[in-house]
Amino acid sequence: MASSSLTSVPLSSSSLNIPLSSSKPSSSFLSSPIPAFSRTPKTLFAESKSHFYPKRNDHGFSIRAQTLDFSDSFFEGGFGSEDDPSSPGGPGFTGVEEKEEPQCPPGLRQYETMMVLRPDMSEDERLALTQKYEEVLVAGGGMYVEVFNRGVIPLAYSIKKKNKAGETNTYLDGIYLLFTYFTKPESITPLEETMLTDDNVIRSMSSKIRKRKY
Amino acid sequence: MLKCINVYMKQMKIVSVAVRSISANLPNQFHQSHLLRSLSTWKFTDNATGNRQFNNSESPEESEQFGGNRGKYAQLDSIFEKFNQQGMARQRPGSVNGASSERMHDLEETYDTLTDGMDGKLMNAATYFEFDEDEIEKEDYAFRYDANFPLGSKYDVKDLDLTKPGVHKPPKREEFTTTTKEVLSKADFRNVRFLAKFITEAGILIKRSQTGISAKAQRKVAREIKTARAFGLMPFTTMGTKSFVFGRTMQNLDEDFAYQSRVADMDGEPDMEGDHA
Repeated sequence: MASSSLTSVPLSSSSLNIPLSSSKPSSSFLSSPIPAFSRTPKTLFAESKSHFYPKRNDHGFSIRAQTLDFSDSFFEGGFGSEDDPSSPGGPGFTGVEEKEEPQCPPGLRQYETMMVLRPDMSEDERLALTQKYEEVLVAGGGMYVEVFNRGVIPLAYSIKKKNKAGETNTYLDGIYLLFTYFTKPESITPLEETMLTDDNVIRSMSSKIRKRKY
Repeated sequence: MLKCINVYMKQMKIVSVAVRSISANLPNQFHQSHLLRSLSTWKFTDNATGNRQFNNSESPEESEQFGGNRGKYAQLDSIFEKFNQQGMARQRPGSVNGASSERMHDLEETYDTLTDGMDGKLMNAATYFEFDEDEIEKEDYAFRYDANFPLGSKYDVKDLDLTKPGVHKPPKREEFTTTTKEVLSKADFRNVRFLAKFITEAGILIKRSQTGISAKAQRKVAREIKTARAFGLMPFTTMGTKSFVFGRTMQNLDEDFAYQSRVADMDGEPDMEGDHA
């Protein structure tokens, strides 16, 4: 899955001819929604027609990546970009969940935390942030911490946020991360305080996972 | 005596002329039949004059008469030969008819009532009905002016009753249909594609009667949509801006307000510019 996702990114970048490397995840994200809506673009110029053909191949690749990565994804029907090497994919998650559920340690509960990060973060910064929060969770008594990166998703409305330096930024996109872990109920409050004081986190929410049967 | 001899000479000339005309018009049967009839009339006149001569003639005249008779018979023989030729010609189509009858016998052996060629005719008769092309211009022409049945629509027999007013049946639009079970299992704030079907173009939650789900499912959908709004996955309202479409940015790009003439390449560059900004 990592190899397939890695191969899809260069194709999209080559087709789009984007020189900046930081724009790769957004470019790969941009290519995937097109087949979802099955739009039929009308090519008016030969130049655009020549560009259109490799892009179609890219769509095929992105579709395959979607089916591979998100067989048991949280964003059903969504799309993604680069995955963290530390986070397993869909079947891995399924296996882990099946193993984890009966082994719930006594005194702990299962929680999940969804946080939205700044879209202009690089991969190294994102990995550092992930490790930071994993350490916070483990320090608070957490076990079996799993991280799922769902990539850059366009926000439905712009979010204006002021950082510690007093600067105000308006974000139109966000990187979505999902943490699933077992921890003590008392450690959720300091985790939320840490997320609130972090400048890289735009929005965040923690919720307890409870089994429902509908 | 001389008068009788002159009469014989005239008759001989006439007969010879007739023979020549017959030989000349051989290919035309019509002309042949016409000439034959004229010859028959000449025969009668010849016999009558012959009888008269018998009553008045002497022995030397009789010898001359015999010579004339010989010539006459020879000519008749040639005519009879031609008749025989015509008979032979007539027999040829008869032989052809015999051959065709033999062919019919051969066909009868392989014939079946199922393969008599009537299948196509029966099919045409079953799928076609005769109509008058000028029926519209006739005085007793009647039609329903207050109902229209577009292609693909269904109607009952009573709908064709011209004595009663027609009922307007607009075509049914394709709407999103779902069940309570599906909603309770699929509704999640992460499944934005599914939740987007429960909001209007302005981003307002649609009422429960529009989807026909239970109150419990409607509450769950409402709660999940509000959670998704808090995360920025769905809009609170889109009045004044373009409608929310899952997977697309909400920036006011130029092509979003253009007509249906989009190019795939244009989707990437403006978004990239937005990202840069």
